[in-house]
Amino acid sequence: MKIKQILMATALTLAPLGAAAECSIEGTGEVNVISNFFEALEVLSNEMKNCGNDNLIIDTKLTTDHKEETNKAFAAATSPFDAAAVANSSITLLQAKGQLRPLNDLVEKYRDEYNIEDGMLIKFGDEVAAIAFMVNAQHLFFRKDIFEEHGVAVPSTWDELLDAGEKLKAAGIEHPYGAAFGNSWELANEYVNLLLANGGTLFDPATSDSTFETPEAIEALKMMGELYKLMSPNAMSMDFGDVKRQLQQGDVAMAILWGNEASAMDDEKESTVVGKVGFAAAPAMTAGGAPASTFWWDGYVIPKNLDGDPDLTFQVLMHAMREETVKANNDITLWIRSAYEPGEYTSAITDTVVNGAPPYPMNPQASLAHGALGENIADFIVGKESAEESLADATKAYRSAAQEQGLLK
Amino acid sequence: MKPANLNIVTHSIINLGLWFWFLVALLPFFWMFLISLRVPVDAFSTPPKLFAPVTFENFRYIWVEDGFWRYALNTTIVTAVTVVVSLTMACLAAYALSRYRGSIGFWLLIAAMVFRAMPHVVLLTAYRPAFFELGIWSRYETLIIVLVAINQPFAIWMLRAFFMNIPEELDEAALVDGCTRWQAFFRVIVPVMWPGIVTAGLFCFLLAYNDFLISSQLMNGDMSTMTAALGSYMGQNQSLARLMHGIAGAVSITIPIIILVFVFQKQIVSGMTAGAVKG
Amino acid sequence: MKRSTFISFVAPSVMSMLILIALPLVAIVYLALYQSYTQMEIKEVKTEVPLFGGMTREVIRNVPQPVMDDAGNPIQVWEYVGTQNLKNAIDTEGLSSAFNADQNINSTRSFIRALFDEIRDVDFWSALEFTLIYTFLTTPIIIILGFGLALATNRLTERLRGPVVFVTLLPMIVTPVVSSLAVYWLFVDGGVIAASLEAMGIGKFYFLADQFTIRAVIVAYGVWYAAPFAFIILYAGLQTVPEEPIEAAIVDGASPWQRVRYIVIPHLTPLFSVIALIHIMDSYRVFEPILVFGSRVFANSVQYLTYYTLVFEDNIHKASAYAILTVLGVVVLLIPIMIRTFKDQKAGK
Repeated sequence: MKIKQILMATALTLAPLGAAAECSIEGTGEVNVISNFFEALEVLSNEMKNCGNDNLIIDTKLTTDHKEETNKAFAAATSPFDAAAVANSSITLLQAKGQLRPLNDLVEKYRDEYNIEDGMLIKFGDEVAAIAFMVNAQHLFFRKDIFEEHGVAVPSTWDELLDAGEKLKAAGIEHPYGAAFGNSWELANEYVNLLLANGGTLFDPATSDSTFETPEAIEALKMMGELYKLMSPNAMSMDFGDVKRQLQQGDVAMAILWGNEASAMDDEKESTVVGKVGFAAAPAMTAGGAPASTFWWDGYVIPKNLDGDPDLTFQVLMHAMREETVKANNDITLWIRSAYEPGEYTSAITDTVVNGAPPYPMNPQASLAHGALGENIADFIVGKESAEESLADATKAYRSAAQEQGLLK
Repeated sequence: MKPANLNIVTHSIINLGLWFWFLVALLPFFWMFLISLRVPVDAFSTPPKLFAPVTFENFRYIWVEDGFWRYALNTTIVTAVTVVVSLTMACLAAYALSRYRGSIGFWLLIAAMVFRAMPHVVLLTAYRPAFFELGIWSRYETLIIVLVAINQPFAIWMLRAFFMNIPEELDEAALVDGCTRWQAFFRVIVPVMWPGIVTAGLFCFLLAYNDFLISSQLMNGDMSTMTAALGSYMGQNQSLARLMHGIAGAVSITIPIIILVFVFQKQIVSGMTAGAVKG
Repeated sequence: MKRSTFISFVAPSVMSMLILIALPLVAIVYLALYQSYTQMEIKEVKTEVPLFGGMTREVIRNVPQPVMDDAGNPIQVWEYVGTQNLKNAIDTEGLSSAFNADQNINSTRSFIRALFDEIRDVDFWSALEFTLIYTFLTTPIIIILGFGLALATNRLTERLRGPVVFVTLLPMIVTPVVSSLAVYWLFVDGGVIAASLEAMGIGKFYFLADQFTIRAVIVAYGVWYAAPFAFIILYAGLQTVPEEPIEAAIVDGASPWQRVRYIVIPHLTPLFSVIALIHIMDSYRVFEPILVFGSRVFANSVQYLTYYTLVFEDNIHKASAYAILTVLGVVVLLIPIMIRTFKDQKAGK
């Protein structure tokens, strides 16, 4: 292991030191943090790394495999990670399995030092399970120039969006709409957005049994079938990255994407449509209804089985999430801290949330339902099964998964 | 076999077909190398561009900022030790199997064949809870010992084919001179076996280097090998920049392999045909 | 060689295989008989969700929470379920209802329809379906393609053969995850292949649109990946074809094709079967292209299904059930090879 440390030390000295932000955390040990990879998390990990010194080794891992790695680590005897970034859906099973360290004591201890706001605390009952830093929601991205040229108004309901799509198609835009229908998780995500906005539910909270086969569900699913007709035939294998690229390359005229990707539309390194993309709240299923979208928070948790020092870890996390970070990186996402100033790239997220988009359900059953739906509704969308059949298949898959987890008898 | 004389038309068609294969075999790698040197907007443009500004930013980022060198170091350690240990164990076993006439030898070879056909995920399913419980996951030793075991079946078969070609008179002469079996093996057989050992070593190397399934699950975080680390760039991903880093990573993994094929082409071919082609 | 010497020579290798290959096979049988989970009870919990600008939204709902033991640790349940996991994996219920479908005049048709529905809906059957399609489609194609390439390369001058072998080796030697990705990037929406075909006026193609096209692309990858293997072996085999019968055939006026058909192919027959057997074993394990093409709904493989269950669903018991079924499949595929080896042995080797 010696060689590794020496090499690591050399690499650290060679690496360009960022803005030498003063981090005055004192302590000895190692703090390892795992997270997904997107811009806000990149900023936060760089802030964490600034706290590293001779005694305090800070290591952050940004990976798209974060969910699986976190699950494995938190279930092991000791976790190689002292903290992990989670969101609405990924926190649920960790919390329900009792793997998260309650943070109440640390919050009290450092509330003043880091100005921890109540809005940042994710609570289950009285227990603080996570500290959140940003909010996100999917909403509509559209090409202002194309809409203007063809006299299309920004749709506020899905029926209007279908009409707009037909109009654009008639005007020669082959695939006017884009959405992530590919990966089974993402397909179910689009569906859940429509379902909840249509007044449907995923499961009965009292019994944990699924409620997939309802008229609201069938309507929502049929809407997806209609949307698919406006999309590239390859859509069934496109994830968010692919849809984002479609929009950035000018292949589609409108798309549903995550709010924190808005600024990437104006990034010349990625986009050919700089300045041409507008943002609006997600359309509603019924006129005047809530936007078909769910809102998500992203935050950090500390496991019970960490091998480092929770106090030190907490300080590093809070240092990264301090007000200065928000102020210096105001536009990259919708920060939760009150120091954040809303900008053009996040107004569509706030519109979506203020107009009543619900939070993504924070229950383990929701994750299982999500998985079961993602596996089965594709059969309907590509026309191999009726909506009823594919929802019945999803029910079957959900029940066996819930039984295996001990959630359903 | 000497090629037949064909008329000019057939001859041209055959050559055209060969050129087409040349193109098909190379195109995916060529395109990957090309886009790894671009910014996202050019790499995945519609329609695709043949020419675009070249940048080494993706490579700089993963090697300098993202610590890809750590993964490269892990790969080096894991593959080097795996090759040495696998060969040592397999050589002993293969030599004994080529010289022993009893029926256990035959059954052992049959068992090895079944093991060779075993999908690795079957083994992984058992390793995961066991290594968790023992607290030995994400360590070099663990991955190495697993890869060594997985290497054994085919290494034994391949090396046995090579040992069969060494006349038994050679060891018998050594035994007559008063050597023990072990001495005969190390002093007489191993020196003439080097070409075979190098060949088998190449295949052990490739198995360890190319493995994604086992390595990505047994190793975690900074302990990942290069191939396993690729998973952390791909997956569900909306960041095009991250995808570009992954492409640069994929190219970084490919370059050593291309060099290897270039240098050891003859040995690779002889390893693949060992046992299959007699005469 | 004496038996005791033999045993001491093979001991390290055999031990490693016993512990890390044979023992796991026993372990998956054990794991498949159990089910485990954290015991939970549904509690009414008030959760607070942050909005922005200091606002929060409070939600009261029923959420499963862990049941704690006296020491304050969550209780882990480890429960014997017998063959339940295996039955769920092959969906015995669905199978028997498909077999007992209504017995009217159209019963054969409705039975076939029910069976197809079953294959499509049950993960294991659809994974097995595509694994077998992949295996038995690629096998003949790689042999024909490999043979054609070997014959063509054999016509080249000595100096050109090296580069051809070098390039041909790449698809099969380069890390499969990487080569799968490299191929995938050619086929993405508006990618190189689709754009070139459109530019040549052949038409618009969507390679990742549905089950048929995605499966076709994966099979094409399989051919590209494995044809070099057939090529190398057959090319080496061509070097061993005896000259005399060919010269005799030339004297008799046989056409080049007749020479290949009546002399070369019979001579290489044993190699064709070796290639087929090894390739079948390897294709049964197809994993990387399924992982990379990411279209599990349309094309799955038994190995990927087990991996997914293990890694993403985090369910070792269900994964073990799939693993057992996978092993059974391997054994079935190996029977012909074993019979062959037995015959070789009997023939007095």
